[in-house]
Amino acid sequence: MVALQSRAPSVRGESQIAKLRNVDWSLISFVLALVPIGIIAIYSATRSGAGIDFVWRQGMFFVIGLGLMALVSSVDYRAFRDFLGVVYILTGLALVLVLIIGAERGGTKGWFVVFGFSIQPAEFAKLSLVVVLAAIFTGRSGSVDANRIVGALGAVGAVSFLVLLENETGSILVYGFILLGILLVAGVPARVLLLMIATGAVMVSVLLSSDTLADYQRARLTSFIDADANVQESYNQRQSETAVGSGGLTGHGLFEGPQTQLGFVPEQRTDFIFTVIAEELGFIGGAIVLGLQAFILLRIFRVAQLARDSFGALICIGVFSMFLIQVWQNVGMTMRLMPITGIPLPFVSYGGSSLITSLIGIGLVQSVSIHRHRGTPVE
Amino acid sequence: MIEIPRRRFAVLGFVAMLVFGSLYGKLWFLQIMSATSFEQTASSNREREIIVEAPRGRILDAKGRVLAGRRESLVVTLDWTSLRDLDAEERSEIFAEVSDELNAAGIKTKTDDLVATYDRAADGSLKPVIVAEDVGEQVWILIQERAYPGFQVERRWVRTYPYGDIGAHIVGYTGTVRSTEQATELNADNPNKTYLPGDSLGVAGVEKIFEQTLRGVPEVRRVEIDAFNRVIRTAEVLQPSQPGADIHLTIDIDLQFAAEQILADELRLARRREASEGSLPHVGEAGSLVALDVTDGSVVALASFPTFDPSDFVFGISAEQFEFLENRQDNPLFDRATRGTYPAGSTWKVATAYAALTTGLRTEWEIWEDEGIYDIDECTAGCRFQNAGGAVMGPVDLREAIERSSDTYFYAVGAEAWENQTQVGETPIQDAARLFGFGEASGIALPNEAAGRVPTPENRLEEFGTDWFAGDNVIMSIGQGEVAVTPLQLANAYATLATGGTRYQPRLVDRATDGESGETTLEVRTIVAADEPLDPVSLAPIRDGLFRVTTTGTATEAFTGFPLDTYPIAGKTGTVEVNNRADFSLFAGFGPGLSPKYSVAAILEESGFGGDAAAPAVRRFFELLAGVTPTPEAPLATEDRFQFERPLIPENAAVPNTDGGVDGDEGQEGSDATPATSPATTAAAADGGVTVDPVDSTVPEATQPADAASTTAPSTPPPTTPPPTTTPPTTAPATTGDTEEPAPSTSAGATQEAPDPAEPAADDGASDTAVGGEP
Repeated sequence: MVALQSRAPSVRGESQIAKLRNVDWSLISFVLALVPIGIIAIYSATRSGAGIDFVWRQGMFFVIGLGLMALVSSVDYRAFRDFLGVVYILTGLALVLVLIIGAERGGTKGWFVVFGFSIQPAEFAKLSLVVVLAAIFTGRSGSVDANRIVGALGAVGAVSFLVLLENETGSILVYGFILLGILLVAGVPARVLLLMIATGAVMVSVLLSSDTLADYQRARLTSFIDADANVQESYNQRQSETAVGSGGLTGHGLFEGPQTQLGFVPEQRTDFIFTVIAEELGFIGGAIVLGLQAFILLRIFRVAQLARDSFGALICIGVFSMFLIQVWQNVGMTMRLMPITGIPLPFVSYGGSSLITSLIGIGLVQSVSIHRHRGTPVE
Repeated sequence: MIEIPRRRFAVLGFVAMLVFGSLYGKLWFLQIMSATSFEQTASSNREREIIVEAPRGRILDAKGRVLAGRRESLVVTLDWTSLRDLDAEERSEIFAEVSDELNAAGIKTKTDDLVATYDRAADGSLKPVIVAEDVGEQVWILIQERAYPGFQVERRWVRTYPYGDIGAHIVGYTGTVRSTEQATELNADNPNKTYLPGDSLGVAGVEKIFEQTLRGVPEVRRVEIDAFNRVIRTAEVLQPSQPGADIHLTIDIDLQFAAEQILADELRLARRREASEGSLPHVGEAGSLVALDVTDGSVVALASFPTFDPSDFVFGISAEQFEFLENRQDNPLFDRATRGTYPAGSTWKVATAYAALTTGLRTEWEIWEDEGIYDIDECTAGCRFQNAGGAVMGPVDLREAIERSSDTYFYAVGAEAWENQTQVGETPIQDAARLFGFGEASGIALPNEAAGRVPTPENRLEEFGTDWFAGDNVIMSIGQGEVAVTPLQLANAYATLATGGTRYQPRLVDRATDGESGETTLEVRTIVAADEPLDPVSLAPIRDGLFRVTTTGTATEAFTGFPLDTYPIAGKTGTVEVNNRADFSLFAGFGPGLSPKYSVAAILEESGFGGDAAAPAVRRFFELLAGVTPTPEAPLATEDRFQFERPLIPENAAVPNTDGGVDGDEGQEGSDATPATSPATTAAAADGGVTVDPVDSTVPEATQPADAASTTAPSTPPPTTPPPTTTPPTTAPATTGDTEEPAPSTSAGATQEAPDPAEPAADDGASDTAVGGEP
């Protein structure tokens, strides 16, 4: 980490030492502990079919992600304000482009395939929204007024619309939660927030009862409520729940989980990665992974509180919300607490876009942490 | 500057705590509080009980040679349950890929066939269905590697029939349990044998009758499977497999082979023989030969020709192939020996003679003036019965009547029996026939045996609703009319004559032995079906007459050269006429002499006189039994066995003049290649030339056993034989009138239906034609 840090371009006027002192090392160590656990779980889920392939790829994503994290950390987050328009427009373009030339898989059309690697712009859009929303609700003057709220809704709405066209419903849930978290902390009046939540709930129920969603999407969203209604979907979720439940306190042992090794749980290396840990390492393993996630969130929360300005604080809150909803939805889904949506477990699920996005998110938080002292000049 | 209200942090923090609280709570609930029940769910998820068919017992001949065996085969199977969840498009992609792979490996597979197999299995097959058999290790590795859903390579036990079509009607064949319903039905009767659809099941022959003995106890085991229903490992064996018991037959496959070859050969010769005047050309494409051990009823040979190869059924015969076999005019699936019913013709006269002597209608010395015709007394229409060709034999007694096969002698007995029924009873001839076992199934251990028919006024009325007349008795007295017997019954009747009244249930299976230890688990005892001693005084002259048949009677030519002085044979020829078909040739006899060991009967369809076709066939079989000619070794199916022409050669095929004398041995004496003039001699000549013994039987001087041994020592059959002929469609005229049912399920393959009681009848030797009619 030190080495990576030292390679990062230095921000003018500040010594490397000062920067390193303000790095949130415990946050980084939690991340560094969690990702390898994820890689081991990925190996367990894929070793019979693919051997070590996925381990290599995830390891590579990890290294790339760490590099980007270091890079982003070293940049003063306040500089991002100047590029907001560029970031947002690039995000929009990527999302439009992926609809045109993207690859389709599993019913969603949201992948650029480059040199055998798939890039999922909807993942990176999460971070764009974090920064854009944080910027909207901060400034040298003014207050949290209707204009800002409408602007935020518009920013999220436009991106969500494009992502909906790709069928990436899971990502939209994350966007919504990021918005909610930032609105909450930014100080949007409680009644406005409640009104928005209510409106959102009505919209979701309308969506579910209309023909907008494909059957499989509706099935996935409702199967956790009515287990018998959608055989295949609820079958998957029951298998997943069974895997978690049968793990018991200490699990079946690494690479020994029958549900995992015999392939009963679908999409196991990505969306259902938590079942591998819970089945093979039991409650202890599951609790550790959840605990690491909690500690990561706790540190981000802390950085938010210590941030030198509201922009930094809201960036952290955006990243916090992003991780919180993903952990909740993903782990909840494997235990039949939440409906099935294709949301990866941060740092753990297999997938380059997700892992790199998560690590860049940590980079943003580190940037806020590093540049938290009032004396630091703005670029 | 917009400031963040600090309280809002607390709200978000609270939300986060709720989130983690719910996740930890659920995790605790699942893993700590409900772990046991989820563990059970997980086990039932991945564990299945599977039932693996045990190796089927073998069928062996008397010398322990394997007639129906087994081997393990690598087969590709399709499990529809793993494919049903896929959508049709994915499925057809998989089918296309698998068939490409199999074709690339040299196993011809059509995608459509896979689809069809899937559709059939999708009715509820519990067991993966075989889609390709005998695949190599290559395919195994390939299929396992690609892990196509639903496709696996397994080892399965597969039936083998090493001798191919030899004895096929006895051995039978296996099919598969077709449906869940059929399996349920079978399981109701045999709880521990657990049939599943796709299991093999005997459907014909001994395979069928001894299904319960042959089928082993399947292994039941608990296995671990993966999400694609693939077996990962065996967790526990709940019931060990127990192979089925082996069945030991009484037949000797060499003799069986010889019987079939003799039949084929004699039929071929019959086809080439010119039919007598006024008779239809000999079609000669089917027949049977049965040999029994008269001392205990053991079956020595039971040949039905043409035959089929049971191997065709091993992996499930295709519908087209089965249809072809079933609809072939010569009906190869039909076991003529036990299911074919024929008019007995003159072979029946032993019953008439026995009735005549025991009722006192005749004495053995009483002379009858054979004028070639017989008129029923006090008769108004259709009362004249005559010998064919108007043969007039002059004065004959009982012995001579049998020897020369005088019809009028027996017509008279028949007519008088009817006239004097108040003294002799209504059915003395029929009663005598029943003593010989006619009219009832012999009880042999083969499915669907025919009972034949002994016509009586009673069953005539029952079945046809018409009355019985004197003319019916007349026709019946020479085994025509409604008389129907199977070749097996015929052989058993003559065995009864040989024993003097003891009639056995033909014994085809000797014992069953445990598949593992070899210990005898079932001994088939000799079963006496009837043990009423025949009147020795009446029997003696009948036997005398039968012995004369082969020496000076209707079968003299056929037995010329046979060492009758050392191995006397009693027998009777029969020639029956069937509507619109050439004469059927019959012969039944026993030997040797007065302490007989064997009885042999042959019926050759549309082959001419009894003395011309059936008698030489029986004679040749007796040569083997008597040791005059060595019995050739039955070849395994893999060997080239086409040393004899196949049954359906084109009728216009050139007849080489080497027909008779195939033996190319140098210094061979005898002139068997000399074209013969009379049909009988042709038969005899070809006899020796083409079949088991190339030399001796053709040359009367060379029939001494010693000579036989010296000249026919070569153990391999003569090599110079007609090349294998591809089988053309039969050109024979319609063989039977009973086409309303597929043959294997009916007992009437070559049966004369005989709805017309006054059907014209004919007889043998000096063939005679009865001009029957309503008296």
